[in-house]
Amino acid sequence: MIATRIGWLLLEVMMIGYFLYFGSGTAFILAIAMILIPVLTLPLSFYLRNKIKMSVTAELNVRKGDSGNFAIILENPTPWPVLRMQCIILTENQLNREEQKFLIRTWLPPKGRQEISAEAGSSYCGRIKISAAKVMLFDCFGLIGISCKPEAAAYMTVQPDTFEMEVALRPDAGTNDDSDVYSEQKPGNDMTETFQIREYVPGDSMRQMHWKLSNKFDRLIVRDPSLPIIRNVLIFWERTGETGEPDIIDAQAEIIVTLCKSLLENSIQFTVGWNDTDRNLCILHEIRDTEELVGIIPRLMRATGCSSGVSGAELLLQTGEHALCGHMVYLAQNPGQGAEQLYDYGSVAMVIGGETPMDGARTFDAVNYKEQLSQIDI
Amino acid sequence: MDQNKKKGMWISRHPGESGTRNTWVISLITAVLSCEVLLASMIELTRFTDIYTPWVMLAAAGCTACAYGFLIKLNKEKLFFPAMLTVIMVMAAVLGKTLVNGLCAFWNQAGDAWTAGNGIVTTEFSASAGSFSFLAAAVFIGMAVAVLCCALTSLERYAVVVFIPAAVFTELLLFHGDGTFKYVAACLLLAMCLLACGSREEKTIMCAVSRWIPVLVCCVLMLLIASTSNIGQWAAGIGEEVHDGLHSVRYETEYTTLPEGDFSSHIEKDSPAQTALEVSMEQPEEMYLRGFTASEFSQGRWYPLDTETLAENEDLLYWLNTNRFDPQIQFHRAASLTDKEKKSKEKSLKKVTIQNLNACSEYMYVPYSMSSEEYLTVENISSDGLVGSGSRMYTYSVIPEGDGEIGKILKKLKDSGDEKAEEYRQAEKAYREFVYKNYLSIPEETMTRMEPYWEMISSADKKEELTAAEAQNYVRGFLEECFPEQGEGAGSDLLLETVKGSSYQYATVAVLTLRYYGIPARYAEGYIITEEMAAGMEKDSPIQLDESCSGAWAEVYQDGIGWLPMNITPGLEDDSSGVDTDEEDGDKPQEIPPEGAMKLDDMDDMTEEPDPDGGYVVSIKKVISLTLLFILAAVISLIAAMMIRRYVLLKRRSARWDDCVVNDAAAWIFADTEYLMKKLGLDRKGGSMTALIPLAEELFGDDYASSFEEMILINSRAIFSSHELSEEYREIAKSFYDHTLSNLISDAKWHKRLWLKWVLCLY
Repeated sequence: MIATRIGWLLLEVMMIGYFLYFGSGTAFILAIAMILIPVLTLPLSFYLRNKIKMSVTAELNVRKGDSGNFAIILENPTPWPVLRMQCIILTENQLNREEQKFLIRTWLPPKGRQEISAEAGSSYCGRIKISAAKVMLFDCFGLIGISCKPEAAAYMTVQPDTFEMEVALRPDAGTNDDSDVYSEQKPGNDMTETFQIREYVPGDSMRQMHWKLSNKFDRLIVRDPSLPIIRNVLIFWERTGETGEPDIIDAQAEIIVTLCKSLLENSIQFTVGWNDTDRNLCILHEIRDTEELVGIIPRLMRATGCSSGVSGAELLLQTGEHALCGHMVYLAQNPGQGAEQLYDYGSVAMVIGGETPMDGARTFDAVNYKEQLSQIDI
Repeated sequence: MDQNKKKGMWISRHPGESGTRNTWVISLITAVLSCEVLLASMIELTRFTDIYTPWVMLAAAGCTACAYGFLIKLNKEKLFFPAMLTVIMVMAAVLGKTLVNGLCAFWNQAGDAWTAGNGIVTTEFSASAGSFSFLAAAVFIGMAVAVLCCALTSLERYAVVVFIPAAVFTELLLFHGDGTFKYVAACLLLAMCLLACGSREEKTIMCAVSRWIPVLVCCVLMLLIASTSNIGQWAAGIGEEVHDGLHSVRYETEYTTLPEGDFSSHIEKDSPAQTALEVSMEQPEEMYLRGFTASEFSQGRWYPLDTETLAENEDLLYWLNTNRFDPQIQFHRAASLTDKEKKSKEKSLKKVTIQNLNACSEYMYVPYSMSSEEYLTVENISSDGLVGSGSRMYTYSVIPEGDGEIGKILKKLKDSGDEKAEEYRQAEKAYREFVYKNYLSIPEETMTRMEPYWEMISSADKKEELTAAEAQNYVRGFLEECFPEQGEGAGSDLLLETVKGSSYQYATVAVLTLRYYGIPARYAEGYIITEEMAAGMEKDSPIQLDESCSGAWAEVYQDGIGWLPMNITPGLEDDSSGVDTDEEDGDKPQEIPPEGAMKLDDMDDMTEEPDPDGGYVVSIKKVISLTLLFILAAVISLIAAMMIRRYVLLKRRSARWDDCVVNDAAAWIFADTEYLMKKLGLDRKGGSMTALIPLAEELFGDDYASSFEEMILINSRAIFSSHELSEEYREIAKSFYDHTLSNLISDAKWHKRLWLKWVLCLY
């Protein structure tokens, strides 16, 4: 609008110059008109500001690096046109607070609508909020702006990529991993419960051999042990102590989702949690299957971090003690206060991405985290 | 996908969205209308009265602009300018001299229009242009203007918004147009509509139309309302006041008293008189120092001869000037021709020095007997008054006691058979015809009012049949009756009641009466050194002339001699003027015939009619020098503005760096460094700075890359850490900035360095 305003000013100055130097009545009238037109259209802008409707639609999920479409729909139900309209569309990655602003200049015909399509994407995962930061209605010269605030927002989740990660539950004397719930999808190692009976294939262990049935059917039959479903795992993502580097935040998001996926693949049900730094809350979700994991990802992808404040570990100890399990994974860029106290409750795998040293912690960086964390013992 | 290579978030509008649809229509309309309005105003102001040439010019421009619009539609916009350049070059190559002749003819035509507006003769080219030449030149000019308008349209629509009115404004200034110029409305309305359109990226044709409607409705309504009122007249009055104001600021002081022919606001000042002129004379004598002179009386005001009339006689006046015949020094020329001992005559010239303290400095104050030629400009054909252009100190020579010699000069001039005298007589005859044609008019309104009085004096005789002596007698008689020495005469109620009883009124009535009786006369204002004052003066000692010495008088064209104040004109001098007419030479007033130069006409028969050919003026130095001065002033202002801007920005930056806490300062410095890095090609484009480290290493080496990495960490801490950084980090950040800047400067060429230093103010 600056160019328009400068253009208006120059034109007005020229008209006054015409009027004063050449005594041109026409120039005088037009100079007055140049001032009057914006003033006269002001009531119209005031009328229209409450009538304009705005909505935003966006694709729900996109892959990292891909673009997702979104559309801004502006509607004018009145019989008057919106001569000039300026919308600043704000896209914010709620995970790493990265922002982009996008300016739209348009108009609205009487009783008409405008649909402005655009695409957005990110090389970092996170939930992108698309909303109108500022909407202004202007006169035809773009001089006087009246702001209106049509509330509209849409969300697009840039899904994190996952990588190969082997997760193994480390037996711990102090931890009771017994479970009376067994997996129906895959065999395990609990010989007390049979998963399935099948014919022998080379490579099967002799210990699995079901001698009675083999004798009866006169061929080798083996028995697969069942997999007990363990619910004694907590994965906690510390969101306090962030330096704000998007690469490291992205790595953490990928790590936590990969970890969850790997645990589910091993039929390990678990609790995933993080601290809400805006409200100082500890958020915990029990995950039993992939569906629940997929459902929780958008929430996980808007877990905004902060550099300082009450740490997630402290909040967990204070408000979520019931969720503390025998096996815990504590993921953070920099370990928060109280993180070490988690050791008192069970086996804790500290996964740290920052520079703060911590005894027994697995460290990773934003570039090599996939290799560094290809295997985790919990 | 390109985005895969990007770091961070991106957002972009879909190509082919409604915003870019139909913009070619607006571009086409913009280009067509702007070039047509520009050309039409140019044609009008430069008076191309040819029947078809203007239409050809407009058509060529329209076609070019249309081609531009359609090429945009076909997404071949880039082809337009090279193609047009090729067409123009081919045209120039093929048509060659024909085109040059046509362009020269256009130039000459524009020059004539310029002369008519300014009274300044322009350089003319000899051109033998036929109709085909005109056609070729019209097409060429039309295409060139259209290409210019298309270029501006493609650059930015706002450029056209400013350019069109500015161009018409400049045309009006150059050609001395006025506020009633019909293309003013067209160009301003066009500019307003284009301004309402907005920039080219956003609008559809419907959007533009929706904005044009309120603009046009409002403007047309207001223009209609205004047309029913006196706004035009009122605005014209304002225009005149502004002109007067500018004139006053440029040439006058608060003590300037002479009204310069405008008596509407003239008031006698009560404050003590201030010195207007300080005059030093080598030989003190009575002198009429004329400044403002005028020939046309209209609506109670005197105006100099209008430039239109001067332009019509451009060839004659220019020819006279180049033949050293100038009305300002006509008396000197005549006197020098009749004096055989030229050297002694030159020696007898006396110097007069004028210091203009409070008089209007637009004019020089010179007597009719001035002899200095250095103040006369050949290219300026303005015949009334000697233009001083603000000069407040000048010296010139005069012929002493010039008035006493008038009779002798006339006689000798008549008798002289010298070749130079014959040349002079030839030029004088041509000028005399010009004078008789233009200095005898009386406006109808004044004639209606004054004629009964004049007829009362000369009712018995027919005006046309009067001899010069009789006419002069009538004039003298009429003026004596109207303005008697004692009491109030009829003249005080005749004209100009605002300056009743003043010399301005007397001079006005005198000039009109002289004209009524067929004697060419003009109105003059200035300062008078009377005989008594001259008698009290010492040689070369200054005399101060104040308001009491100012006034107006009538000047009469004395055939053969030139313009003389009425009191000095043979036959019209009054008793107090002290004119010493030489009776022995038979120069009694009664014997001077009115038609001119007594019997000079007899001598004219022996000579050929002057054949003024216009000639060529070497240059329009003044215009060029003024333009150069203007450009120089603009450049100096720009440089000053840039220096101030740089100083402010650097100071602001230094405050950010040094006065903030270390965390903030480090973040600011890093942000500034990031800007520098962008210029170096290290642009993160919304992504992570860390990703740029390998590129930095590749471009500027390990040291720089490690410093960069360190700086990223410092910046992270500065932004996100609640702990305050130590002062050392500020210095590290600054040194990294300097390092980056030195890389940038060493890579940049001199013009880029200038840009970085003075425009972007990076150091």
